[in-house]
Amino acid sequence: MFLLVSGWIIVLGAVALLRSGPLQSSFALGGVGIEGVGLGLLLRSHIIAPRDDR
Amino acid sequence: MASPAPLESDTAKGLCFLLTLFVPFAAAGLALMNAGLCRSRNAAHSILSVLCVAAVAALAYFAIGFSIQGYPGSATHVIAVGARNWGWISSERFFLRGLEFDGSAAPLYALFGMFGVAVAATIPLGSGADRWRLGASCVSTAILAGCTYPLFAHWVWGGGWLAQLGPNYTIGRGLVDCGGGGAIHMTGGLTALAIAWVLGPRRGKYTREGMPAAIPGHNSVLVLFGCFLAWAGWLGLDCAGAMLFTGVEVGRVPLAALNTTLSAASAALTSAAITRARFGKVDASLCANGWVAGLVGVSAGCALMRPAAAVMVGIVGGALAIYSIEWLELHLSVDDPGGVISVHAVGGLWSLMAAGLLAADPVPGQWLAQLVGVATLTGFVLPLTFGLNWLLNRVYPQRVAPQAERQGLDLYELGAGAYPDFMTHTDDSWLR
Repeated sequence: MFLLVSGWIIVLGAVALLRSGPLQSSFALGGVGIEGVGLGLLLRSHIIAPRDDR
Repeated sequence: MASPAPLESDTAKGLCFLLTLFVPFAAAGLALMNAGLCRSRNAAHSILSVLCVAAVAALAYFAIGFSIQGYPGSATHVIAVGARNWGWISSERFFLRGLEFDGSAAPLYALFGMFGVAVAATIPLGSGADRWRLGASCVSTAILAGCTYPLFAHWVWGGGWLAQLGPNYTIGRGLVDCGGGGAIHMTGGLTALAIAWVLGPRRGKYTREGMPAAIPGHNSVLVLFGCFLAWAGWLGLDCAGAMLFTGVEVGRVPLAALNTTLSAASAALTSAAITRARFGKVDASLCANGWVAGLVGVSAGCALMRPAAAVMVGIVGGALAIYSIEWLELHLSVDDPGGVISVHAVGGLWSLMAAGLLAADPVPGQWLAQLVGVATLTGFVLPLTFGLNWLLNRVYPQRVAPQAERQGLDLYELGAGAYPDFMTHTDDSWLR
């Protein structure tokens, strides 16, 4: 969850602090990438593990 | 679009009002789909839940939601960042006070917003089917309609900072979302994901080895008829939304309707082809999900792209929905009986990006504005809605008791079944 918010803040930072251009796009894409990692980890954390009945 | 041209003529306002009246059909269609895809012992509960959450959503939006969302040109609380104003939240008054019914367009925005939030509130019921308490779904909807939805809707539709990305930072025209691909569907879909996590899978859905078991819906006819109702609702949603939020003139409204239909048609046929190729037979429920995925996919850019692009949007959207449903169920243990996470969250994401990438008149940087919108939904709206629903679950457990799942929510929560003349089913609630 922390990575999701962090990625969004990076995107906000890129929009607010950088001029339009490749650098801004790169930072925004990087932020979205971090969000992707966060979402992936969040999804994996909810996977049901096989139960051992022994 | 930063500030759409207001609806100036009475003809435009009248047409927009009539189109807005179609929007509740979208909620009705989704209600039938949810009911058909759940177990027979939960069917009445499913439909009643839709009615209740629509009622709660309307009242919460009336009390708080519209004051947060506002409309283009309304007063807004702003934060100054580097000499540029970021609109964060509207400063309209609670309970629709201050809304003048004098022929201006403001009441149309309020009406569309109220219907739109009802559609958004219906979506999570699909992922929480068969195990979500009626009372909890109402409280969760109050949070959605009073906080999550109007906040994002203000940012994109109320002249907020996402809509101002164009004028403030020359990033395209700002976030474009004609018919609610992000504001309604992705918000509802991400809330559905949060609900699926909070509730956990249905009893018996996953074996001891973690493999999913098929729990088919009980009535394909309801599901497929729901598609037709949803079609009518989406025509209203997309056409009225395009007029209200992107300033589309009356002459271009038929383009939005054409694109909506073409996208749904191509998505449904893509789903049929994929399921026929993979399973040997066409899967009715997946085709229905494909149809709605096509409707969702074109929502954000329905009035901005050519019909051929809408067909492409539908093909991609239909395929995305099918594979996403399978991936979530098989590999990620997300139990989503209605397939709404794939259809609305993944479909909404595709909708926003397609509106930037496939617009007929491309604007430099538009894809980045759309990407910022997607990033905001996943990086802000998802944590917010998950956190709020997790907190709610701590103080007011959202999942029904195990005996309620075995007995069925119709009997357990309503005291009467949807099909009293029929004897029911084998008990598949026990852990396999």
